[in-house]
Amino acid sequence: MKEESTKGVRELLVVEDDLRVAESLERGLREAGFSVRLAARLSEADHQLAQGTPSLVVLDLNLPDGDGRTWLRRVRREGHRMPVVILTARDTLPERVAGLEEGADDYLTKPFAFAELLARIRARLRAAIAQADDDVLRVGDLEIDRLRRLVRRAGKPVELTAREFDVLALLAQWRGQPVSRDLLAREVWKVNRRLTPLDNVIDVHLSHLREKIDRDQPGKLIQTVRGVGFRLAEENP
Amino acid sequence: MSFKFRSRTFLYLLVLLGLFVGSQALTYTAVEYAHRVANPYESFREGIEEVLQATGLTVLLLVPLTAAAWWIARRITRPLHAVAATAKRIRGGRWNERIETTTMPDDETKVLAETLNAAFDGYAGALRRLERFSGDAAHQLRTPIAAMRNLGEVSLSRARTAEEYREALETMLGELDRLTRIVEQLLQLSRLEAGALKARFAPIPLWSVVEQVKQIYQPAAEARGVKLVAEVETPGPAVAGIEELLIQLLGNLVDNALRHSPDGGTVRIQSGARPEGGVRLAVTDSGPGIPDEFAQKIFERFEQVPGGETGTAGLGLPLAAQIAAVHGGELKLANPGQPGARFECRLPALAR
Repeated sequence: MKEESTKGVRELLVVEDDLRVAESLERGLREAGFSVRLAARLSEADHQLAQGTPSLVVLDLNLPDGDGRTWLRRVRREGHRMPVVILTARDTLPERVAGLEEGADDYLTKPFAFAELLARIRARLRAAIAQADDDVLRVGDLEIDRLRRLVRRAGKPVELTAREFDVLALLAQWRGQPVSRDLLAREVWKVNRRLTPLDNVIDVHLSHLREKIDRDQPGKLIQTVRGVGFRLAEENP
Repeated sequence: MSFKFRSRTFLYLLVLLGLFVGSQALTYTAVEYAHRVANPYESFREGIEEVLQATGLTVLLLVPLTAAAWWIARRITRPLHAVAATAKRIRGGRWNERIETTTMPDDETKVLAETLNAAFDGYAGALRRLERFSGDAAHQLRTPIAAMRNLGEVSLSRARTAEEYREALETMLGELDRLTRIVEQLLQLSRLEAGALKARFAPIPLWSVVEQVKQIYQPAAEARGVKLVAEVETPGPAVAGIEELLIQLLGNLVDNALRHSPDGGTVRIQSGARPEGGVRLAVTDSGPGIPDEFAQKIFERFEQVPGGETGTAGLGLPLAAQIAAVHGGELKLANPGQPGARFECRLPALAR
């Protein structure tokens, strides 16, 4: 996690009425280094906003005292500019469009992988403070030049296919954290893995990447996190 | 019952109408006749007799007129009563019952009955699909839930090492992933059935769908030692549709074909215009083929051909078939019982 540097913008407001979901989000986000305020109702969310604008809001749409989208529209009108990530169990296309039109910056359908929520939150915060990632990413002695699409391991160039490079670049972008298969499928292949079978394809790419990057190297950088996805990191101490 | 009341009113009206028309006509004829006949003689008695005769005739005619009106009213209302009675039974839960129309004469009542029957068919179909959906879903969700539950219980039954706990959690997440996928697929199936996607249709060239799917699955095919071949007409025909769904359709067919082809086999994707009109998208594997008795079943939810690889919920082909249907086409197994299963999807060509 040492590469993580979202500098100061670390306070989140989580608006979620399901206690178990709220608690596990709070715990996960705290462990990821955020400070978290919880609101189980829109009225509580208003109260929390009055206490000070958070860096980002995680908003559930179905709340006991109203529709999160209506609330969001009002809050935007009142001039709150912080990024908002919507969580919802409803995922029809019109809903999605409506959510984004009402001022949400991102949209995640339940059930989602926690790693993915974390990734979205970090991406939004980074966008909010307009701090672009470096073109060249480094993990151990692995170098990934995203601009020129070149990869080196211990100074030696590694030849990758276009898709292999995309997979590696995505893993490198979230270095240190697991990247889910769903996210890989969506970002690299542009398909919904839950509907288009893609597991074999992903496995083949990962095994090719291991072959090209980790083979004959003392430290293995590509790790499988069973049940979650894959992670690019120096081996765990 | 308001229905009965209405039919009786109708009957009374008919009788009154019959009486009125009949007596009017008779009185008129009688008066006319009386006038002509009586004029030369100007006999008052004869005039009276004529009127009396006319009245007698009216009374005589009243009986058959009433009978006829009653008979007509019965004829009209009897089938309506039958329709109402059947509809009432259907509403009461006998969803398979229909109004008997074969014995009905070709009239408005038959048209009404047939229209109602068609509506009942539609509702019953939707209801059956809904019942099947929830039944299938519940059944299919049980397995991963049971697996997770057992794993959780066993894991907690005594103290374990951190490594064991980790493994248990990892397995649970794997099961949850399966569960999530099943739920998502079932939801998509019902969304596709609901329709209303036509508004998002755009012209999609078939070759581009084939090309994208081939690129996605090529490395997986190579890893399995299977040759993935595309025979495409370029530029070739286009269809009106949603690209994402068409890729999903073909992706499911190709994934299925790869899983059923042996090392050294070939999976062939073909696309182009059909000489009979429309376009064709076909995927052929080099596996053992699908027995006759499964040719239809494989498109039903959660059905699997015995001996096939497991790990899929059996929703891929039903989804593909539903996507074909949404695009106004159909997906079929072209060669049941023969080696090298060939799935053929026919779609309407884009009107130029």
